[in-house]
Amino acid sequence: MNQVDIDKGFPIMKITVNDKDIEIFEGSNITSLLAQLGIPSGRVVVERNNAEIISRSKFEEVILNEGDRLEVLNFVGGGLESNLRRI
Amino acid sequence: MAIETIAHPELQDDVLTLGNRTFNSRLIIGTGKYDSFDIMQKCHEASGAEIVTVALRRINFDNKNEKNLLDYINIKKYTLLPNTAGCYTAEDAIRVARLSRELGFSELLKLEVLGDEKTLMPDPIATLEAAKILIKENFFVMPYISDDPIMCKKLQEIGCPVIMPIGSPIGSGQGILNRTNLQIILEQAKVPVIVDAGVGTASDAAIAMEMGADAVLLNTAVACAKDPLKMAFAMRYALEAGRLAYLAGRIPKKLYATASSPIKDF
Repeated sequence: MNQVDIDKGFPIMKITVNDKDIEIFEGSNITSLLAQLGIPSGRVVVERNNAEIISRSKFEEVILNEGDRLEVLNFVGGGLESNLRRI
Repeated sequence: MAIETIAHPELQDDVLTLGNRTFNSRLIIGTGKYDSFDIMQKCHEASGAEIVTVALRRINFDNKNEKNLLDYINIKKYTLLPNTAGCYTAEDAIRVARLSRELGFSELLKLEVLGDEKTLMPDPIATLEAAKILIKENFFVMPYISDDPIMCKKLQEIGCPVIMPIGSPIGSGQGILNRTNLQIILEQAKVPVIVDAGVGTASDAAIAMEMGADAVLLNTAVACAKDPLKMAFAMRYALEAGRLAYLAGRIPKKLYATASSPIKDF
């Protein structure tokens, strides 16, 4: 755990989730990120930096880094209407 | 109202086998375009289907009230068939396939690599490329492919355990446009053939089954019918009627009449 500076509070870092900028505490794992975003972790899959698929069993273990780009995905109805070219 | 979804007695032992799974229903149904998840759920039940297709999408975490599809699909009853809908390159389809499998429901995969936005027809070359890689990764690859006997043959040769030729373009409701091609595909197939896309109404599905298709995959015909629930029932009966007719063996077509009643000795 990082040393907490009373004046500055917990150190914050920036990451991107589904193209949105998010601020989280340094050293956060996927589980705490999903909790912060209000996403139940049971039915999602996470991909980091267009390369690494993070399985559910690793949600606790994987620590996020400043500037990480994440995709958080789940199953929806469809179909072409759920166009995936953006992922 | 409890919906009776037991197949006709003559079809009780007639199962569709996909890998190590068997199914009593030969209908695979979609989850898109329904007005509500409630209607979708009722239609799934009415259709008797045991396999439903699902797509992968980014979570919209700004809309906390968005309902989750999986709350409306009993995964003990239905097998999920993830698709790679909306992918236009082999690379994208492979990526979506890997992510979908990570969700942990099944190794089944409807491989869909589109060639063109207007026709939504498959890109056969990219489909073949993606299939080769995904088969090596132990996916159960079910390719959406043109009604082209040679492509269907090639996909079998590289190890696809199922082939899914289109009847006509996705959502077009034109039925089976090239029965000659479908007949050739069916005759040369050594793996199950599932007619995927183009079904507009019950007779289209029945024709596919009468010709000897192993199953039919559809979505729009039910989801966008004026009364989706009635159409879901209609599809179930059409699948059963078509399958029974195929197993019964149709009479040959003849140019001239053959009298049904005795015409001598009266």
